[in-house]
Amino acid sequence: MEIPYIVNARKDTGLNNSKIAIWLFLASEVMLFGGLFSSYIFLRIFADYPWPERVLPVLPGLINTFILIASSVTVVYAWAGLKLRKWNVFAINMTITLVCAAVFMVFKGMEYNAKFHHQAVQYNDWSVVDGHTHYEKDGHGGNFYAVNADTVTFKLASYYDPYLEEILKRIEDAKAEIKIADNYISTQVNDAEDQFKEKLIATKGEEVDGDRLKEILAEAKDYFIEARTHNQEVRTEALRLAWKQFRANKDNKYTEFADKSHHEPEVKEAVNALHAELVAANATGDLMNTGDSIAISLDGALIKVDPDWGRMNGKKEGGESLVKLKDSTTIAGIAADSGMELDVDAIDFQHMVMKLKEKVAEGVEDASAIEAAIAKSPILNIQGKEGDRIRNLWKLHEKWVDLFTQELVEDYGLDEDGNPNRVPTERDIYRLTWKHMVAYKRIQDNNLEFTLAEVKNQLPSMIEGFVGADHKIFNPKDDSGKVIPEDSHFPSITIPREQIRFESVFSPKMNNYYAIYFTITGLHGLHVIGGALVLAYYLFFGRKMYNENPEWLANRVEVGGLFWHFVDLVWIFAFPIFYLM
Amino acid sequence: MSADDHHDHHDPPFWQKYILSTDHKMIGLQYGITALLFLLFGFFLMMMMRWSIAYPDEPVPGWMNWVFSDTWKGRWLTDGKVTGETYNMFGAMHGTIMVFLGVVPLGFGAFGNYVTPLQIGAPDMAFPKLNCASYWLYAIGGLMMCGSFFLESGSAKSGWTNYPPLSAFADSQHPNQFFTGQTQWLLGLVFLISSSLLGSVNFITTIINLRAKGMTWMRLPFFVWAMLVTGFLLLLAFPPLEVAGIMQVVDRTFGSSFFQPSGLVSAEGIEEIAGGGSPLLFQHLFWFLGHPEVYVLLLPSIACVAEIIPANTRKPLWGYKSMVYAVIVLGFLSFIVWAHHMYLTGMGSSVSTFFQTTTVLISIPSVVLITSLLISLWGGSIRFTMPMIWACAFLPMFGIGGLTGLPLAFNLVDLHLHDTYYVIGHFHYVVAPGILFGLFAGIYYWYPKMYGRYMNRTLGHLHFWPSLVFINLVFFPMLIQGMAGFHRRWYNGGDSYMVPEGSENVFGNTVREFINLNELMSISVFMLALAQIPFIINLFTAWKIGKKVESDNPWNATTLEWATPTPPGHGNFTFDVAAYRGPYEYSRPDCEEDYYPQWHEPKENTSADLDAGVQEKKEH
Repeated sequence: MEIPYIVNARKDTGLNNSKIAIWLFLASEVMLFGGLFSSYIFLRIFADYPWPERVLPVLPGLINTFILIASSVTVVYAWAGLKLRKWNVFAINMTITLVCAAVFMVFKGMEYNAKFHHQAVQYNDWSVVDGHTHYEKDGHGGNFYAVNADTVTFKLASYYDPYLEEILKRIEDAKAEIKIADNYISTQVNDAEDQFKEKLIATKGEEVDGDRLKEILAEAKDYFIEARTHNQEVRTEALRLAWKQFRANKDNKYTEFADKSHHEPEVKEAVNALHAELVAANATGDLMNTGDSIAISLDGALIKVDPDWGRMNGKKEGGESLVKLKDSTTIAGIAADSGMELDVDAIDFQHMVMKLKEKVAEGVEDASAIEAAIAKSPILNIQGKEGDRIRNLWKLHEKWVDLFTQELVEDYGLDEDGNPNRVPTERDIYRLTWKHMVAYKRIQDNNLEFTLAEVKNQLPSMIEGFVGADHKIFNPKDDSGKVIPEDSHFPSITIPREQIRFESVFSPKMNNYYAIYFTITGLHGLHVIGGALVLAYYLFFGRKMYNENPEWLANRVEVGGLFWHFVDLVWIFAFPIFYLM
Repeated sequence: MSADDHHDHHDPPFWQKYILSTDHKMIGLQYGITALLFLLFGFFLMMMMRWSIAYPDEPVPGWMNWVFSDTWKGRWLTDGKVTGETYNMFGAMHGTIMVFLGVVPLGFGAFGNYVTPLQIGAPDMAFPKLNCASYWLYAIGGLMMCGSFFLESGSAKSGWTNYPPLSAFADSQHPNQFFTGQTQWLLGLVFLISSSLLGSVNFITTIINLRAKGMTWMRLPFFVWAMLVTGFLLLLAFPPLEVAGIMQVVDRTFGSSFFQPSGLVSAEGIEEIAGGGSPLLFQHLFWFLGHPEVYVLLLPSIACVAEIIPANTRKPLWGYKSMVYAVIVLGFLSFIVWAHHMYLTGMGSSVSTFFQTTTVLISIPSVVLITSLLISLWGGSIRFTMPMIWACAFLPMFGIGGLTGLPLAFNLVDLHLHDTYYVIGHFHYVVAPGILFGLFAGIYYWYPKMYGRYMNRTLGHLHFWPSLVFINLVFFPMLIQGMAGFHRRWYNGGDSYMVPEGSENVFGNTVREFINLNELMSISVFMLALAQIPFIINLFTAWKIGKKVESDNPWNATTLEWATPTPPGHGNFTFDVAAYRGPYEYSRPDCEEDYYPQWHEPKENTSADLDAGVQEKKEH
C-alpha cells in the first residue's frame, strides 16, 4: 500500500499532503499564539499595577530579531539549493540557519539568566527596590525565613524528604541536639490475645541524630497509614452496622422514625449517635492509635528555609514565630534576623503613587500625600553612609526630573490653559533606573555640570548594559585610576523582613508582565529549538533521501521552512510588545 | 472474503499490528476500546457520586468501591462515606473523562479513524505514523490524569472546567507541584491537545487530498463532512485551552498569578503572590474551546445517525445539501458563542447580549440538521435493525437536550438556572441519551464491517430498552430539581440544606420537597449500569459467535466503506475504487435494486453520474 500525493501534488487541489498539513498546523499555531497575545492584551488592559514598559534591554532582542530574519532568508536559499539540485548550497545555507538558531538561544539564555539573578523587593508601602542579593556567607545574605527553633513538628502523612534533609542540614550546621518531644506509640489490633501489643516508636526525650530521626519518621509513617486504613475500615463497618440496626428498628428504639426519609436531620442524628456508640463499644473491631505527627525539640538552633517553601506567621523578626511549610511541617521558635541584603540598582515609587492617586481621585487623600509618602518611604530613610548615597541619588533624580520638565515645556510649549503640552511620564518621574544612577554618579565623581545633556552623555551605553544592570561598570576611580572600593558597588542595604510585602526575582512570579513575557518567549524558544532539530535532521540525515528522491527532501525542507518563517513571525510580534511598548 | 485473500504480504509482528499500528482501522479500534474503557471508569466514578448524593450518610457499598485499595479508602473516605473533597475529585474526573477521554475519542478517534478513509475511498490516512502518535499521546494523557488518583494529593478536584482561583488553591500546599493531581491534569490535557492536533491535521488533509476518483465534495457522505468540520473545530479551538493550561502550569510551578487577582485571601491568610491576574481570562480561554467542544462531541454522533437513517429507510438523506451547509455554518458559529457559559460572571450586559444573539443563531443550523434527519424518516420503508433503533432514539433524546438548552441561552433565565441541576440535566440529555445513543448506533452499524459478524439482536434489545427508560429517569428529574434551585456541585444532594418539617426556611422546604428524587435518579443509575452488561457481553462475544454477514455489504448500503472486503485489509480496497454518484442513492426508480452504491460503474457511459474525474480515468 502506498499513500498517494506524498511528493507530487494532487491535480485538483494543487497540493501535496504535507503542504496541506503544515498550513493546517500553522493555523493551529496561530490560534495558540493568538491566545497568548490576546492574554497579553487582556492582562495589560486590566492590570491594577503599573505595567512595566520598556524595561527589557533592547539590544539583545533587536539582534535576535535580525538573526531570526536572516535565518528565514537562508532557509529559503537552502530550499532553493535543493530545487536546483545543488547539495552544497543547501548544506551551507542550512548550516547558517542552524547557527542563527543557536545564537538566538544563547542570547535568550543570557537574558533569562540575568533576570533570574535580579531581585525586586516591595516594601509594605508599595515602593519597590530592585537589586542583587548577596549570596549566603558567614550567616549573612541570601533569602531565607530564619527561626531559632524550639520545636519542629513533622506531619507523618505528608512530610517531604527534601525539606527534612534541609532542616537536618541546618541543625547539623548549628551543632544542635535533637530530642524527641513526645512519645509515639504504635498499637496492634486486638486479635488472638486479650491485650494490646504496644510499641514505642519514638520515646520522649530520646536524643537522636539525623539518620535515626529519618528512621523514626519512616517507621511512624508506615504505621500511621496502616492505622488510618484499619481505623477507617472499623468505623465504616460500624456505620454499616448502625444503619442496619436502625433500619431493623433494633430494640424498638427507632419506631418513631419509621416513615422518615434518611435525609431528615433527626434520622441522621440518631444514626450518628448509634455509630458513635458502636465504635466506642468496639463492635466491629478495636481502633489503633493514630497520632499524625512527631515533634522534635531543638533548643533554639538556627533554621533557615526558602521563603517559597511556606509561610511565616507571627513575628518575622525578634518574636514568637511559626513557619509552616507546604508539607505541613511547622517550625516554632523565635524569629531570627532574616533581612534581605541588597545592592540597590533601581528605586521605584510607581506602584505606591498609583495607589495614592486612586485615593486622591476618590478624595480620601490630599494631592500632597504623594510627596509626603515618598519622603517617608523606608528606602529614603535608611541610616548611615549607604542611606546617604541613596538619598543623594534620589535628590539628583528629582533635579533631573525638574530639568526634564522644563525642557519639555521649552520644546513643546503650553496649551490654552497654560498647562504644558508634554510632561515626563510616571516612569520618568517615579522610577530611578540603574542607568541614571550610574550617570548621576559619574557626573558627581568627575565634577561635571548637572545638565540633561550631560546625563545623557554619561548614561551607560547599550553594550554596557547588554542584558541588564551591570555591577562591573559602577566603578568610580580616584585620580590615579584606582577603583575606590567603598564606592564600587550600588548602594548596599539590608531590608528587614518585617518591611517586605512581596519579593521575587525577575521570574514569572514577579508580576504578570514577566509571567507572560517568559511564557510567550519561552514557548517561542521551544519552537525555535523544535524547528532547529527538524531542520538539523534534514541537514545531517537528508543526504540519502537527496540521492534517492531530491524532490521529496525539497518538499520537506519547504514545509520546515514554512514553520521556520512562522517562528520568525511570532518573534516579530513578540519583540515590540515586550521590548518596545 | 478476509483481507488475507487479497493481500499476500506477511503478517506484521504483534506489537506492530496491535500496539504501534499505523493502520487507520486498527487505530480506530484502539481508540474505540480505550474510549469505552474510559467511559466505563467515568461511569463508575459517577456511581460513587450518585451514591453520595442519594445516601450521603451511608458508607459506599462494597460492590461499588472495590476498585480502590484499602489504603486509598482510608485516605479519601470518611467512615466509608464520600467526603466533599473526594466527591470533587470524582466530579472533576468524571467530567474530564467523559468529555476528553470518552466521547470525543469514541466519536472522532474511533469512528472517524475507522470510517472516514473508507468512505472517501482512501488506502489509509494521509499520515499513518502521526495517527499512531495521536493515539498514544491520547492514551498517555488519559493515564496521567487517571493515575493521579493515587498520588498523595489525589486527582484534580476543581471541576472539569478547572476554574481558578479555586483550581489554583487546590493542591497548592504540596511541595512538589509536579506530582499533584491538578498539575497532572493540566499536563495530561496538554498531551490530549497535542493528540487532537495531530488527529485533526491528519483528518483534514486526508479528506482534502485522499478522496478517490470521482469523490467530489458533494458526493462525500455527510459523515465525512461532519468529520471535516469536527477536525477544524479541534484544530482551531483547542489551542486557546492549551494556552490556558500552560498558563495555569506556570501559575502552579513558577508562582505567577495569571489567573489570581490582587488581594486574594485563603485560609492561610493573604496570598503571597503578585496578583493582578484575571480569573475571567481563564474562563474566556476555556470556553473558547469548551463550546466548540460540544460540537466536537455532537457531530460524529449525528454523522453516524445520518449514515444509518438512509440505509434503514431505503431512501436518500433528506436535504443532504442543506445539512452540509448547516454543519459548516454550525462550525463557524460555534466559535462565537462561548461566553454564554459566563453570563453570571459580570462581564457586562452588551457582551451578554452579543453572545445571547449568536447562541440563538446557532440553534438554526442545529435544527436544520435534526429536522432533516427527522424528515428523512418520512415515507421510508423503515427497517428496525439494531442500529436504527438507537438512531431513532437519538432524535427525540437529542431534541430534549437541544430544547432544554434554549432557556439557558437567554441570559435572564440563565441567571436563575446557572450552575443548577437544570444545566446538568440539559447537557447530559445532549451527551448521554443523545450523543452516546448515536455512537451506540454506530457501533451496531459498523460492527459487521469490523468483524464480519452482526451483534446479537436479543442482547441489543436488552441493552436498548432498559437504557432508554433508565437514562430518562436519571436525567429528567434533574431538570425538575434544577428549576427548584438544586446546585450542581452538592456532594450530599442538598442534605445539609434540609430543615425539619414545618420550618419556615423557604429554601430548606424546597429542598425537602425535591430531595427524594435523588434516590430515584441514583437507583436508575445503578439500573442503567446493569443495562450495559448485555452490551459488554455482546461486544466481546459477537466477535466470535455472532451471526456471520452474508456479504461485504450486509446493510445494502451505498457508501464506499461497504465496497471493501470484510474486515478490510491493509490498504482497504481491492480494486481501483471510484465514486460515480452521490452517497445516498436509495430506491432510484431507474434501478432494479433499492440501492445504487457509489462504486458501481454505470452501465452506460453517457450517464449523468459521470464526472470529469472518472471520464479522465477512462480515457487513459
